[in-house]
Order: sequence, then structure tokens, then C-alpha cells
Amino acid sequence: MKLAKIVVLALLVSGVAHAQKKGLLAQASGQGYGSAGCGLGSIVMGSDGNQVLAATTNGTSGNQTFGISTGTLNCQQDGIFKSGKEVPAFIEVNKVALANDAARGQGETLAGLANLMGCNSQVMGATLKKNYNKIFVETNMQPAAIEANINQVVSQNNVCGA
Amino acid sequence: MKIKNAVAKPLRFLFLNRREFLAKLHLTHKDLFMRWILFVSLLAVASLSHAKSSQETLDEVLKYAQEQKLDQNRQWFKLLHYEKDFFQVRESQIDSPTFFFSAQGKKNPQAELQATITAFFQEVGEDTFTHAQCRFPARYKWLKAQLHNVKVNWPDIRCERFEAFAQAMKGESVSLVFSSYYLNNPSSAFGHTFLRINKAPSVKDGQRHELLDYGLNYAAEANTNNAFLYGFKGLFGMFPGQFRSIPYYYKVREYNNAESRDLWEYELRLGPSAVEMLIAHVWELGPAQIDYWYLTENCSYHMLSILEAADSSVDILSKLDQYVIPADTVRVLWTKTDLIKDYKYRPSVRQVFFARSKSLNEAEQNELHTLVHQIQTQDEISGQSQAKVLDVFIDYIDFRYSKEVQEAGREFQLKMQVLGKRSEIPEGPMTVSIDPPPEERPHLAHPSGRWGVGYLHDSIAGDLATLTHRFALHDRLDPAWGYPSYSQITFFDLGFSYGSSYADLETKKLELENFAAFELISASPWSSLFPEKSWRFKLGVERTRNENFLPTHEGVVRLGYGWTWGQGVWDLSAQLQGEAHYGPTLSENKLWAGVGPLLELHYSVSSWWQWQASAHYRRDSTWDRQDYLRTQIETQWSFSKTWGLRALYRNQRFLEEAGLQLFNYY
Repeated sequence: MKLAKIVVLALLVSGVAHAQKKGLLAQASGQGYGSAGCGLGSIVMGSDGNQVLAATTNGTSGNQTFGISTGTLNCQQDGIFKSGKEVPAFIEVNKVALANDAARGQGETLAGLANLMGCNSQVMGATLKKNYNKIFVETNMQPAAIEANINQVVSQNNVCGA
Repeated sequence: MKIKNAVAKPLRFLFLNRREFLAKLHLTHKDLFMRWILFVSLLAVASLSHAKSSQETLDEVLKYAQEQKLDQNRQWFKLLHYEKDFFQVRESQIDSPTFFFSAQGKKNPQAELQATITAFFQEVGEDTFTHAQCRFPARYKWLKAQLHNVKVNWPDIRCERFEAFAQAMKGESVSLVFSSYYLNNPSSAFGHTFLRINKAPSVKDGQRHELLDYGLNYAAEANTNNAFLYGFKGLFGMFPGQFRSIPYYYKVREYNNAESRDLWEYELRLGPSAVEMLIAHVWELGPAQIDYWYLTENCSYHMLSILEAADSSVDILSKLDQYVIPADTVRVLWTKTDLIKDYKYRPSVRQVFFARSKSLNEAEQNELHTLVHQIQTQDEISGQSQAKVLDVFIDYIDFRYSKEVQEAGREFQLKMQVLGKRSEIPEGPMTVSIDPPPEERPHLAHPSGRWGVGYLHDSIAGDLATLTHRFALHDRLDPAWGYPSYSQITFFDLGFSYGSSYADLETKKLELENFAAFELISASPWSSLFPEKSWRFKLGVERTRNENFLPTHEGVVRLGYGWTWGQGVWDLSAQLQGEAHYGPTLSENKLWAGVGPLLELHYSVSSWWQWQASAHYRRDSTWDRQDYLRTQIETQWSFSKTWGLRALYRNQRFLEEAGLQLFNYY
């Protein structure tokens, strides 16, 4: 009987531990996408009431807000980006993939950002690669700082022709 | 026709008179004057009747709607989500009262149509946003399209917020995206589907940028991480489901990168006007409350239900079973409709890593192993590597440390070093293109439901007939098409036997032999680069057979944990397995448990023919005979994706069993 109890207890403990691990993983993988700026990354698996908050504090009278599944207080209204917020949101969510593309000098994520900013992706690829350290290392991957430094090198090097 | 005449009458009258007038140009002045008076007065009458009060127009539209039986129109049903439920009662699946204008709207399509039309004609208040036309643009579009052949003075208003939404979402076509299975998250074991609105190529560079598209997602707003609660609440519609628009890049990062799941993008044949309608309809559903039913009205179901609402020619839901499993929807779309125009595969970071690492020669492989060793044990990444090796290593870090690279920790810092080195090498990356073999394509999967009839010979009870039914999804002996190899996802598997009972060999009885609420096996093989563990879990009821008591129904929880080795066609799992039994009908020791090792060998001759053999020893608590040993071997030969024959031999020392089962997948 004693063995029975120990085994049952072990099963329960491991079950709970497993469930908790899932919870942690869910939280961590979401939070990882950044905690500042648009708050786009604040939930991946969806677990809190940010949406309700977004709907009520957005200044919308009704409940018509068609939001995305995250805290979208600053960047979105009705499920789409407010103008000028596309670039910061893109950088925040894609920063890891963007850093990879920048180091390699090309890639889908980099092409997407170039398009959003109205730049030529080849020239932009070369520029970000050359300034990799300045953009990603010196900023410690903080989204707002990445954006500022990208803007700076892009305008210094006349990447977007304007 | 009748309606057309009614509107055209005054116009035609006027027209005839004018023709008459033109034909008789030689009229007297007086005549001409009289005619002129008549003409002007007719014009005045016509314009007066034209400027009908909006009440009159509304009455007209209501009349037309009734005459044309629009409340029985299929698309009206689809836009309101009126479907017959389990009891064949038709009502809307939307649960929020604000979705309806009529108090009877949830159940009465006619009342709702009248109330909706009336609301469309209401005065515009301070804020157009709350006006019916702006809240339900798809209904309004549909109504206008239905009455396109009659002249109605529609009280169109501008809906700025909706227009901004429609403009941002705007696209040329729609893709249904399927994300593959993810055993480590209970909500994802069946896969997931969502829609993507495909934008036109960018005017800036003429290219398509899929990352910049918007996705439409329907998901349960789950408020628990507890797997059991999740399952329970999900099954019984206790989570609210919500439609959300979400940037596609967000989904790509979530699935491809954070969870390493592959995405399959199926482009649908849906015209531009249907895409517009879809966007308008989804706007209507944004604030709607819908109960999320894990098995029926789930993400896949509602992706299809909004497609049907957007395009009246789309008919898919009727081709699906009552239960909708994401993988089944892509299979049904592929095999039973011609809606899929094209499909594309977007590999997870894991697949990209394996594809890139194949290009390395032996020396480069060694270099990669050195780098992997460094990131695991050192705080510096040293050595001069080429672009090729570094690119593979970057993928490795992203996959192995998908969580850590998001945060400013140790792995993150080391990755920064690696990327820094990589940025100093001018060479570009190798283009990765992966074309998964047909067996791995989800739309070519076998159907997930399974019936089985069979025969079992048991050395004590003699001959038994068996009957099984599995609700979903796949086990490792099923035809290996469309589901992840190295894993089993069984949900709701029931097995019965009919034959002599042990207690009284003369009477024949129908007995429940096995019920698996869930049975999951993840047998990902171990490798030095990815030292993955393998595990299994079962929760259910079994008719336990052992040497201590007569066969008895017991609740069973079983958990195994260990490693799997192997590659390609064979693998061997070694796990430590513990289990707890609860037998309410036992006279003593109702609760007992056992623990012991399990060895299982799997061999795949082809995707149609699989073997599995296992040996399991267990030490039990409590009983007189505490040693339990079981060996068994099973094989299944599948003639097709819908039929298979499985043979089994099992030895439990005191009992030998041999059986044959014929399976039908549906």
C-alpha cells in the first residue's frame, strides 16, 4: 500500500509539474517577443483579459473593436495598425529573425521591413549587415533602439533614396 | 418582374409621352404649350415620387425582401450562422445578443431580416460607427446585391472605421493555413487552421510579402493552463471563442519559430468580391461572442463557416462530419472540393536547420559540433567558421534555444557573437527549399476516425468478437500518411469484446475492454545535437487482466518517460512507466499502482506496413503476485488510406491472446 501511495503521489507531482512547465513555456515564449512598445508580444497563447481592456480604453463606445489577440493599446485600432505603427510593431515581433537576416545580408524578414519602410531591400540588406553591431549589439536588442538605429543608418546612407 | 414594373411605371409613362412629343413636331403652339405643361407637371410628379420618404423606401425594401423570400436565402443563413443543431433545430451559433437586431434574432431568420433592414434605414446618430450599416457591412452588401434589379434609394452612409479596416486588410485572394501538430501544448495536438488574406504584390517593388499580410484567427480565449480543465471546458463549450485579425508575421514567429511547427498554406479559389465580403463579414464577427466547442464549432469549423458566408457557392461544411478536426478540413478541401488552387510549405526553424545541415561535409559537421559544444559549455564562441557552418549554427540556436534568444541571457549574448561574426562574411546564405515527401503532407492524410471489427482468441475465455471505435487521430501502426511520425495522438478510443466471461464460461457477455480518453506518445529520437526525451501518457478505463483478480473495470492513469533512439525506418524506446489503477468494484485494494521498465521497437517496412514489438515488466503494490510481465507484437498492413488489417499476439504469462482486426478509417 505504501508503494501505491508513493507511485500515485509521484504521478500527481509529475503531472502537475508538466502542466506548470507548459504554463511557463507558454508565458515565456510569448513574453520573449518584447514587453515594450506595442505590447504585441505580450501573449502568444492567450491567457489574460488585455483584449477587454483594449476594447474599453481605446475610447471606443461600443464593443465593436476588432482587436488582435494581444494587448494592443498603443498600436492598433479595430484590429489594424494605426498609421506609423507598422514599423515598430514589425521590428518588435520580428527582431530575432531580423537580426539573423541582417547578419546574413538578406532574407524574407529583411525584405518585409524594407518594403514597409519603402526601401530597396538589397541596398538595405547590405547597409544593415555593415552596421550589424550598431543596430543589434549596441542596442541589446531593445526594439525601440533597434528602430532608431535602423532609421539613422538608413538616412545616413541614403538607402531609401529620399 | 412585378417589382420591376412597379418602379418603372412612371418613367415609362413619361418616356412614351416624350416620344410622342418628338414625333409630332408640327403641333400647334397651344398644343405645344399644353404638352409642355403636361411634361413639366409629370416631371414634378416623378421627382416627388422619387423623393420618397425613407419610411416609404424602407417599406418597399421590406416588401421586396418578403416577395423574394430573402429570409430563406442560403447566404442570409450563413451570414447569421443559422445552422441546425444536434436536435435538428435551426438557430444561430452566435451567442451575443448584440449580433441581432430582433429579440427573436437567434432563432428567427425572418424577424431578424426585417429588424436588420429597418436598422439600415435608421437615422444616423452622432457616431456612424454604431450604425447598423457600419456594424454589419456584409449584411448590407448582401441585401443590396440581392435587390440589384430593383431601384432602391439606398441610404448609404460612410463608415470610416470599417473602411480603414477593409483598406488595411484588402487582398486579392485567401489562403487557409494549417499549422502542424504540437504535442507539448494540449490545445495544439490536433493542429490549427486560420485564414490569411493575400495582398496584391507591393506597388513599391512588385513583390509579394507574405509576412505583411493579415491573418484571421478564431480561437478560444482560454483562461487556464491546466490541461485537464482545458480539455473539459473546451469539450463542453465553456470557453468564449473570438475572431481576431493578426499580422501574419506574428503567426509565423509563433508557429515556425517559437513552437517549431510547419505551416501549410492552401490558396483558395475565391474571387475578389468574395474576399471583400469575407473582410466585411469578419468585421461583423469581431465583437461577437461565440462559445468555442473543441470538437465541433472550433477554429476549423468557423474558418469554413465564414468562407461559406462570404461566397454562396462555397459548400464545405456539409461534406464534413459532425466533428471537425483541423487535419480533416484540409483533407476534405483537397479531396472533396476544387477550392484549393495551390499550396505552399513554410518550414519551421527545425526543418530549416536539418535542410541546411545536410549541405555540410564531414569537416564542416565537425566544426558545427565544436560550436554546439561551445555554446553549451563555454562563454565564448571561438574559431573561424565559414558562412555555411555559421548559418546552420544560427538555425540550431534558434531552434534549440527558441525561448532564450528572445531574452537578454547567456545564449542570447553568445548568439549575438555568432551573428556578429556572420555579418563580417560577405557571402550570402544558401537558399533553403524544402519539399516534404507526399507522406508528410497533411492534405494527403488518412481520415482520423476509425472503426474496427475483429476476432480475438484468448487462452482462458476462448473466442471473442471485438469492436472498436476511435474518434481520432493517429497511432504508429496506422498508414503513415499526413501525421507526424514518432508520435501517437489518440482521443476517445473505445473497445468492446463479446464472448465468454471469465467468471462463468457458459454465459456470453458484451464487455467494455478499453477506453482511452487520451493516449499520447511522443517518441522523438535522441541525438547529440538534440537530446530529446520521449514520453507517453494515457488516461482512461481498462478491463484489467492479471493473476490477482478476475477481469475488472478500473480507471487508469499511465505515464512513461525515457529516450528513443533510431532513425528512418526503425526506432527503439526505453522508458520507465508508472501507473495508478482504481477499481471501484474490487473488494480490497481498490487503489493500487505499479512501476517498471518498457522497451518498444518500431519498424516501418513502408508507409503501408508497420511493425511494433514491446516488452514490459511491472512491479505492483499490494497484491500476492506482484510481478507482471507482458510481451507483445503487432503489425498492420494497410491496403489503402481507408482500410487496414492488424494482427496482434500478446503474452502475459497466465494469459495468451492472438487477434486480428479489420479497420476502416472514415
